[in-house]
Amino acid sequence: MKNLKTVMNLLLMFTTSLIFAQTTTFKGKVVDEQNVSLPGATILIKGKATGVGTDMNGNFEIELPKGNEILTVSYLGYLTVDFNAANKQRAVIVLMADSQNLNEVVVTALGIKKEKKKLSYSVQEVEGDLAKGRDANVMNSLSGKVSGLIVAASSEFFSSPKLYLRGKSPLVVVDGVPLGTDTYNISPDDIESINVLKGANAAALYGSVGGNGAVQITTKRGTKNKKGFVVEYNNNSIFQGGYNAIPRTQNSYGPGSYGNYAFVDGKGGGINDADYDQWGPRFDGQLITQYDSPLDSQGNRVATPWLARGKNNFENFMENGLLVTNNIALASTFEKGNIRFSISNTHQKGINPNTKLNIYNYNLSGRYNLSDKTWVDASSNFNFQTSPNNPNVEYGPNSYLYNMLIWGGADYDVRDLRNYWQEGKEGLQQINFEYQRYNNPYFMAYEWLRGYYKNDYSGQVSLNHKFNNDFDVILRTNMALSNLFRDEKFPYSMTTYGREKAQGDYKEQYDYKFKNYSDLMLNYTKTIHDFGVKATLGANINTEKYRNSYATTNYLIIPGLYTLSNSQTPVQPTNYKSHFETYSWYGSLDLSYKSFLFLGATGRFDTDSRLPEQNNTFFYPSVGVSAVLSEVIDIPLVDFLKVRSSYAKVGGSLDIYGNQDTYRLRDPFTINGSTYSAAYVGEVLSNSNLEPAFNSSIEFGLETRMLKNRLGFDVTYYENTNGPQIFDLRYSETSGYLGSKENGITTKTKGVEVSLFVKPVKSENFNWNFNLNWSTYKEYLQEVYAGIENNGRIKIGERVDGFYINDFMRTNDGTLIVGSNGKPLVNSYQTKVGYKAPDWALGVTNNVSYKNLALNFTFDGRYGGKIENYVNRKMWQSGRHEWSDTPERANDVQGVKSYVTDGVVITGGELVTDGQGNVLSDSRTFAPNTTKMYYQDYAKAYHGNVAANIIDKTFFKLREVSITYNFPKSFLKKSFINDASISLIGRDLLYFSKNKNIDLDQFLNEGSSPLQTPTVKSYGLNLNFKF
Amino acid sequence: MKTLNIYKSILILALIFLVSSCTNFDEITDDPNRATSVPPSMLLSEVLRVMNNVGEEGPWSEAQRDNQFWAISFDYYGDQDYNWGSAPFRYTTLSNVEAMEKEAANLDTKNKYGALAKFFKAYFLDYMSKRVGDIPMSEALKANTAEKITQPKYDSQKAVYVEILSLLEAANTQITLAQTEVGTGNVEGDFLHEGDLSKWQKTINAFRLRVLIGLSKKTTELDVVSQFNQVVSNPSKYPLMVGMDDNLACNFSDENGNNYELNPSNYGFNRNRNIMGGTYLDILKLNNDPRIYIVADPAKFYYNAADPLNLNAYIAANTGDDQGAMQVASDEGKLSYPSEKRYYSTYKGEDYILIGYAEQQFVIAEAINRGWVTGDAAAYYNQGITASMQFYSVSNADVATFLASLNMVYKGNNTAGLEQILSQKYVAFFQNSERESYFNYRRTGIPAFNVGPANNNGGKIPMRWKYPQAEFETNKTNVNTALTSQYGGSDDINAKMWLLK
Repeated sequence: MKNLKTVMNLLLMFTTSLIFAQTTTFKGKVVDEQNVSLPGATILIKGKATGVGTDMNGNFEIELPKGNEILTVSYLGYLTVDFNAANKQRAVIVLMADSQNLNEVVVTALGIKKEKKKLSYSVQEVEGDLAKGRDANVMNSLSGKVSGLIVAASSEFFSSPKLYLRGKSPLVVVDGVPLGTDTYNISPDDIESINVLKGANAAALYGSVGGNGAVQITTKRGTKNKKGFVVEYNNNSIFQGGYNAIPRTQNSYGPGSYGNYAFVDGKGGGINDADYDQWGPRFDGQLITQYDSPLDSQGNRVATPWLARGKNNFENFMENGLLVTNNIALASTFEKGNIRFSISNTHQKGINPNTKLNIYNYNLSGRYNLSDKTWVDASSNFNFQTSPNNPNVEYGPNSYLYNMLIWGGADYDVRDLRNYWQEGKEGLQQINFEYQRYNNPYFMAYEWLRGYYKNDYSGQVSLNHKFNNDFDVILRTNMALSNLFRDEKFPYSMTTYGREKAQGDYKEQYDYKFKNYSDLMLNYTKTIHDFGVKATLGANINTEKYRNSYATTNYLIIPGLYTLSNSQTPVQPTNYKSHFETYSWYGSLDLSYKSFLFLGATGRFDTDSRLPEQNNTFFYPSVGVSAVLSEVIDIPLVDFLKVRSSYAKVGGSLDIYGNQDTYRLRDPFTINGSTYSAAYVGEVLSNSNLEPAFNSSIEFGLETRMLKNRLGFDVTYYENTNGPQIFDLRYSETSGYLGSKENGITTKTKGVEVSLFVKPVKSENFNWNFNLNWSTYKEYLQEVYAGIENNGRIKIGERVDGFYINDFMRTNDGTLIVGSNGKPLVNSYQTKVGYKAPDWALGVTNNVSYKNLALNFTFDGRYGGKIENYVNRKMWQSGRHEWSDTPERANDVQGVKSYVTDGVVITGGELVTDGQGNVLSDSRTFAPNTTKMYYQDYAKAYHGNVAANIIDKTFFKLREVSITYNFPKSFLKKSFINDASISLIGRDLLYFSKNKNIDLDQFLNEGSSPLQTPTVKSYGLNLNFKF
Repeated sequence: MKTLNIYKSILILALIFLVSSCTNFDEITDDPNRATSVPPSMLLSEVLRVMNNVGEEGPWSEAQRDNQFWAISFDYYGDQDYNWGSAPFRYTTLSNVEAMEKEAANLDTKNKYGALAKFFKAYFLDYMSKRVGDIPMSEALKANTAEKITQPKYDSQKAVYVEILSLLEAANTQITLAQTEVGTGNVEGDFLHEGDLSKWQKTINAFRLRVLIGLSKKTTELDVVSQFNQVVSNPSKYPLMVGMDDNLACNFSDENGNNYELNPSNYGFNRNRNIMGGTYLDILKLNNDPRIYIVADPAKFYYNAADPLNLNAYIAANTGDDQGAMQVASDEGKLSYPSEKRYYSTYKGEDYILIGYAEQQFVIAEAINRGWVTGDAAAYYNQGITASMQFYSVSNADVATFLASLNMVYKGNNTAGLEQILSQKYVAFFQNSERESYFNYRRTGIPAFNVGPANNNGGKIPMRWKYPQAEFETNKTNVNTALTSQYGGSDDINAKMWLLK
């Protein structure tokens, strides 16, 4: 009988869905003092590690073993209570808000968990569910949710956003290990939480890579429900379509110049029939020979009506995108540990035809307790990314925009080009509207294939041992391995810059990356009366290896055979290798007095193989203090008030092999059948006395919660001193070298970050949470190098992001000065037109719930900063700009010059400037300009100039909207499903900007906008089940 | 307790594993991808690559538009506004010249590369100075020496030319010596003369004559005339080019990266936009020059198949013309384009002559005309024309007819004769010898350059380029001192340098 009982007890542990006589079922509800239900509160049976959580309505159900009927009920921000459930079947448990205690635990550098209130630096956790309403790249879900973090979303398919934390690129960390991620090799379904360590103060323990702060991802670990395991299924189906930003065109005039066009062979045999602009004849139905005009018996084209046949070519060509993600995860905990397995698939069809992405991600993590005091924690992640075709969107004949919206016209209908091979020349010659510069868009989409195939493996094993209550050790090793293969098939008759012979090509590239990060960490924690100590001492070894090889054909011998050996001249492959290691010792010490005063300090020694030997070991510290004033002063209505201040310094290395005097080799070139290899002296001299770079940061913060946690804010002011950096001190070229590696250039970034948390409505059925994140920063040049007052154009004390251009030449009162041909003149020197970085960034998130229904939306954007609208400029140059259809243009095509630039001409005198454009004397006299010119010439010279295309970077987006319905427990009760929700989701639904022909989201410090694929809105559905 | 010991053992083992994985830094600090020493031939290839500079100053480049050989009607690809910016410096190339000498120092080819190095130094000093004026020299190229001068002072243009002439003398001496060193290694990496030192010697001396004639306004300040005499009168010590085979020239082919600028692949880009320039074509037209039928196609609109040689169908665009009007005229078939047969039908095109025999003969003719040396100017003048016509494969009979024509017969050692020499030298420079035709115009005013509405320099052809903008950021005091001493403090492209005064 005894044995049977044991077996039954075991069964009980794993499958508690059966009710035994030894247990009773207790149903409860957890509410706050206002009788508002508390979803997600934790209920544990006292003394046991197992428990349950409350549902959306604060309800829970738990099996109580006889004789152990005390429940420990806890909820963040509330006092924990022990509730005696003996002889009860049902009760409402009221929790009192713990105004003093914000025991929120956050993950800090290296994965060390600390109570948030003790921190002396700024850390912000990302609120909300990252798996819902998501993009193919999880980082895009952070947009607007963290003050000081800017997520510059890429407009391109399968392209990561750029992250900027306080204006610099942060480290991205997974599970406390700085091995990096391409941000596609992690599934949002495996992410437990993301928090952001803002700046060096928080990330100093990561070493030089953490100098700009860190975005930390913590992955999920095993959990279970009353069945002993949890299966979770999550599905997202998202359609992408409807443009947020797209260049608009005029459709009144076709290809040509000054109204002249006639197609003969599309290779220059006709009039402007090759490499043309869009300044051609007006579409009036007149007869003109065109690419598809029929041939007469002599083989000459018979003119056909000239009509705008392809007003919507681009929209007709592009497709709707689709993003489907599926994840299934199984998690369990058991006496000896826990385990979680998760498989995710992301399938995306891009809006460019014939583009797709498939990502499979397998994640396995678990913990095994060797004893009460010793356990092993391990995880592994396999990630396979496959994308057979990634179009090249850069400016050039490779780009759809270039071919259709900028230089291509409305004279043809793109749908007529779908069958792109010329009859009898299949595999050799495309059909197109022109045969010199441009390509048939469908031909590009289906024949010019640029594949991307990446396999990432990462794994981690840690051994943890608790010597006693105070003292433990962690030994862990982590590795990340990445294999990338890329190829490019470039068909016969396709042309792009530099490949005008159009005889095809094939390219291959292999990349291999290996990173290993191993460390040993000793932790000591002790509380003696009112004093607490937490100390960590650690050592680590970090290794990074990289190998790359690349080869391309030089035109193909056999069309359509994409192998490297099929090259007209022998292939000359290239390769690259690198390897570096860093060894570090680090320590941190946290002291606390009561729950009032906290002092933290860290220190780290690094030895880095990339630095010169005598200076390759360096130390840097951080120190911080925080005080919870609300512990000692009673302020009316204020629940919590903390002030904090910290200082940190972080040492940095230099680019690998960046400080060596070596020769550089040029690509070999062939003349008269002989191959020549040229070498040249490295233009920047090395410096054996080079020291590590250093960044330091000082930060002050204030955090408060008031009105019973209904209102709170967190304000931070910081000054980051970036430098002295390692930089190329510029020499006069006449010295024979362009410069040398030196320590110098210090910039100072000053910034403010504000986070505001409001709960305007809080009741049983209706809740509204509102968060606002606002941040601003400016970076100034502080020092350069002994005796040098400027870094290029920027002088000490000025902002580093000053935007300089060759502006139009103007008189003192601002009137445009034009040349004798009527075209605006441009200064030969550069002047400042503003700053590149935005003035501020704003993100607002709202979370409104009513009963089982929840509405979330995020609105974010940035204000200020200047950029050149390159697309706009190019469209003016080409004649395709929507505003170029002016009355004067109609005169151009009649051969009449009618446009008079509003400006003045120089009638005499002279402007004398020094070498940098400073005026020495100006005796010029002016008279109004009366020269008539073609509108085409004016438009290209004025609107086609950089100076006419400087715009504000200001934009805002309705970033995320989701409406979620959580199925009530009562509804699910009879099914095997424990939790189920359905959400309608939308991303990037509205784009607000003065400039709707480009999406400004991806630009922060850029001075010019490259071509981008028009951006679209996403709409979809999310299903989530737990059983 | 026993289990605890096991875990302790695991910990210790793991620690050992961690520590033993350390690598000796010495093994990984050096860059495995790059060399710290290379053969001098690779540096020679680099220096020649820069000297050759086909992209910026070769055939059908912007420089050849500034030379007024051709004009572009398409404002998107370029213009003829003469609103010049700065000229490039070549000091990093001079660093490579020095590195070539250094890498050869311990080899038996020391004198071969050494002689060439002297020539390249002279070549690039001349290249830079004649574009901007004073340049750093005595303190230049010393960043990587014990002196570590990073902001060199500027030397006067006069001092620079004294040094150039002395380098060329030394180069001739050393290359004479190098040719006697039988059994030593060859000069490799030389895609212009294939390591032929006798050709290099002729190039060095022809170049010296170019430099000397360029100093024609400075005969009282430097010993220009005596040096010219010294070179011309002693062909055994100073061998000169004797024919077009001696040209320092590069040839093009159907190889990747070495195509002639105009070729079948870019016909569609250029055909109706690259127009023959009036300053050049009108000289051919005026003289009934047979080269016109080889270099240019008649304007379609005016062409009469029954009268194919009628020169009235050869209509050039003037460099000063408004580009819009030029494009409209082009689209109407009213302008002459570069010959489709010669320039667009192959990837080989024609050779690009950097320093040529024809130029050398015209230079000597000019020196005789000026009375610097004695000799038969007409003979040199005729040899220059003949060499140029051979370049275009004009038949001997046509050459003879042309030389005998009224306009062509040498008018004697007077202004009219000088004008003939310079005008035919200009014609021989067509699409060749980087900006030499402009420098000759700048020195002599021949032929007259065209100016019109397209000119954005106040109706003037500039006299110089500005200093590189980087100098104002890295060597401000010295460059400003140079501007003050030469041009009243202004980096004025219309100011006259010492050479031209």
